[in-house]
Amino acid sequence: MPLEHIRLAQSARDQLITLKRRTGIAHWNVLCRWALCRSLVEPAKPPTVKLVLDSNVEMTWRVFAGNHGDELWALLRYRCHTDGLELDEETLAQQFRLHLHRGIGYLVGDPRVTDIVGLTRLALDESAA
Amino acid sequence: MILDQLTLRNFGTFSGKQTLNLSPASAKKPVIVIGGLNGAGKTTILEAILLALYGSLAPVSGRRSGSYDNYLRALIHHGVPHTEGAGVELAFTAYQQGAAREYRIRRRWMSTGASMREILDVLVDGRHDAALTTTWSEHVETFLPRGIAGLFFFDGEQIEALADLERSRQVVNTALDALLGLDLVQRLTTDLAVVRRRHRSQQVPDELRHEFEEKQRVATALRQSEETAFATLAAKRLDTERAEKRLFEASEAYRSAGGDLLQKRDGAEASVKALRHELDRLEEELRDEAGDLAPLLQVSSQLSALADQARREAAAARNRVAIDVMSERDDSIIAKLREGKTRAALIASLESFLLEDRQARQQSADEVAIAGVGDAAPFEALTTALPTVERRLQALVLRRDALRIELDQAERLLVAMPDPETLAPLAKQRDEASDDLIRAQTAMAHADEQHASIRNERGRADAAHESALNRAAHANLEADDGRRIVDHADRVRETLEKLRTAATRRHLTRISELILEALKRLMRKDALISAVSIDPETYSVELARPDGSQIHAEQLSAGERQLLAVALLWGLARAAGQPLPVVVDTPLGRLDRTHREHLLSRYFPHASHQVLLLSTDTEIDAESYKQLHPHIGRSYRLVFDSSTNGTTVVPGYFWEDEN
Repeated sequence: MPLEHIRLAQSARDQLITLKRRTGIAHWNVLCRWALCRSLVEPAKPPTVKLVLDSNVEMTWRVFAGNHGDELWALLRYRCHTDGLELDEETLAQQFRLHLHRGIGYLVGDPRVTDIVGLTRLALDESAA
Repeated sequence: MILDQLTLRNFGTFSGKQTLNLSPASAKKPVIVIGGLNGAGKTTILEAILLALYGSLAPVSGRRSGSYDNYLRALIHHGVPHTEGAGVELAFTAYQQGAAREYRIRRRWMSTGASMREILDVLVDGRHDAALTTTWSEHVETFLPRGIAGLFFFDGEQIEALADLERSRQVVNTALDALLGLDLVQRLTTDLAVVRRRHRSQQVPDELRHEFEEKQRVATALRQSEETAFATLAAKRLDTERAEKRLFEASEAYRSAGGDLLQKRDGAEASVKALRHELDRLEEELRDEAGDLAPLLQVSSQLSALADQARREAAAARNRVAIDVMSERDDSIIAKLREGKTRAALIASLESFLLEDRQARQQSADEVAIAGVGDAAPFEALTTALPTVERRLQALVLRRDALRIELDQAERLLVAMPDPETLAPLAKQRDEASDDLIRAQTAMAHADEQHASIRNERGRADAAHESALNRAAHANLEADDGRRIVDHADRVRETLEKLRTAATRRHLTRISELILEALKRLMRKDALISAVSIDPETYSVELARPDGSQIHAEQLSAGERQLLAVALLWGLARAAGQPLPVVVDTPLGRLDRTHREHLLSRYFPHASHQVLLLSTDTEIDAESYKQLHPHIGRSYRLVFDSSTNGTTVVPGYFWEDEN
């Protein structure tokens, strides 16, 4: 796997804490999966920003991805390919972090996500669309 | 009335059965002379007549003392056993309602040991009359009233007593009373006195009055306490009504403040709790789903695209392997064909086809490995799994939304329910009001019971009072009756007294005249007395001389007084106006010759239609007998035989057999 350890920015951590409170989901990794998927749906490329990964939240790829690590990684690669990016290790890792943090931001900013049902609706709405 | 026959059986001195026929021989010879020496039984004959007529009520005989039993016993003849007894039988004729009837009175008596047994038989016209027998003692009064019997049946001693003017008063008195029927008045007066005495004591008994007053007091007290109880009951009822009103108000206040909802609060809270729990469970389920495949639903379109890519990449990998093998094989196939006699054109076309195929495969093999996975299977599995997840999520969300709405409603309901604390004062007020009501109702029921019991008691006391009142009223009426009776008795007595005086006054004049007439006949030649008057109050007889001066009894001689007495009897007997026989015992007493002659010539022959003279040989001596002879109808002689100790009746007077 290209990414052994995943570390988050402090702001993202704070946002995740907010989300934890809103949805009642206790695990960082679950929320992070939601955030990644949320960002991947967005057609626009994530803006390249300088991420300071200064929080103490850290997890392995296995912890993050669970049973569907290959599929998630393939999705990321596919996205990078459609975005016209090189599929080298460095680019993929960078894009992963950008997508993750953008997704966290989207979830926090989304007015629908006030509880677990709101979060679930995100998936249902997207799938129906 | 005429005495017909007298029969004596073992009566007094008379031994055996002796019969005297007494009926007058003719109207001109009314005198019957019965002679007898002293002790021969003259007075016994008078007694026999009286006893036959009146029995135990016979006028007092001078010889009678002690009880009637003893009297009867003494009358039984000496020689006869007392158990055999004695008897007297008197026959007389009386005119009743214009017809002559013969009466026969038969009286017998004998000793039955200690007491005497007396048997009375009354026969009318020879036939026994039971009714008359039982009522004889009353019936005899219609023939010869006892009160005037003394005027007709008398003895010389009585005449002597009458001669004492002071003592005559009493005789005159009783005779007058009987004559005028005043003895009836007297008896009535006496009876009235008894009635008066009996009723005077009749008054309302004290204990009855006390009982009545006590009952009245009790009834009044109970009535008062009943009123008090009723007032209490009314007050309690008012209290109860007030308590009811308070309870109603408190209940209303409690209800309007939502008190009723309060009771439902627990249920509502439980359902809210259950809904919350269910909601939590659903959300937990959602969270589980969220931790699994749910996030991938967002990227389902990308995933299907990725699956296509993966399939293409897999094909490219296969082609890449196949192309080298195929070019070698194609070359060998072409070379083989060329060795044969195969047409060059066919070989050329086949060669170009194989080349094109290899070129196409080469193009596919050039596909860039984007997905980086050699197999499309995982993606295909995902794309088939995701719709199921979606459906599950959808269902969960729907259920959760429904639950949310339900919970919202339940919570709104719960919010609408009042807080128990805010209602506490109202509830307390309501409970207190309820308690008050129960207390008031209990007090009222108690007061009601008390009132009812006092009312019952009062009813009983009223009834008792009523009955006591009735008894007292009854007693009062009786006492009134008694007083009225006493009052009337007094008035009647006064009236009777007046009647008595008036009647006496009215009759005395006539009686006086009759007496004067009798007196004048007896004393024809002596113009001694010209007027007789009887005082109506004292019944004393007063005589007056022709010159009007009064003669006192002491101024008369003993003989004159006896004549006066005879005149009195004669006058009174005539005043009685009844045709009764006259029986005179020892008629002449100690009169001098002049007076005897007066009596013999002027009185005896005219005294009545039947005159019985019971006389000794010295009273009516031979000379007197001769003088009286024209008037004598019958004559008997009583002969006492000392050897038999008994008297027998012999016809004829003393000297008749000598002549």
